[in-house]
Amino acid sequence: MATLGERLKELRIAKHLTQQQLADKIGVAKNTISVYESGTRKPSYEVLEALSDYFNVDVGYLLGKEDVSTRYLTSDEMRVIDNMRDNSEVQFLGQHGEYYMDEDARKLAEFLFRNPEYKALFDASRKVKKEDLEFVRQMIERMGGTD
Amino acid sequence: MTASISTVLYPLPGTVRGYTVLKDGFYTVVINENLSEAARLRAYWHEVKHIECGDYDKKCSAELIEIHAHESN
Repeated sequence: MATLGERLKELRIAKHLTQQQLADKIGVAKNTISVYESGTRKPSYEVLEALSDYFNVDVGYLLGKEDVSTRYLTSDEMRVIDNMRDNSEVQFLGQHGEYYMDEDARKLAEFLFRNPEYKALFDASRKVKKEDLEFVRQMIERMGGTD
Repeated sequence: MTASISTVLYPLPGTVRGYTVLKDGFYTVVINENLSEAARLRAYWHEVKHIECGDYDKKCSAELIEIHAHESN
């Protein structure tokens, strides 16, 4: 059976992510991923759940207790889903587990949530643009949401 | 759970159905005025779920919170 560190590294590399990128995705420091992979430290249950959700695998698989994980979709299956996404108002999650399609919008949404001056969460389309969230940011400032 | 919530209707960009700000222990929910009544209610429900689920205290990314919120809607 693989160790948690081996599993984590294997999943991260399969998604072509650096330790820093994975750390950003689940909201921990880069060094944290490094110590998990080296086996120096074990993640809390909250982080395990976040990793399990992000990689779409069971916690048991992450811990190395199971050998079978959720399989990845074939390219044909992805094509069908992409067509459905393009032609539907249904909110689909990105193929890599992201919500926001626009990288700048993602960063601004994270900033507006993390920054205690704003502390905002949204109900927004996956296609939301940075400009739309910038509008909200200015509105929060106008409404006295920041000092 | 008891939370102090005030709700405002305001014309927001089309891609933003609503948002909630936590300030000094008070939540201000802003719903896009341009939505239909049913969509406004869905947006309000989404925002209230963020509050009920304690999302504002979570350490994970805002994106992960949105993924969970939309899966449970």
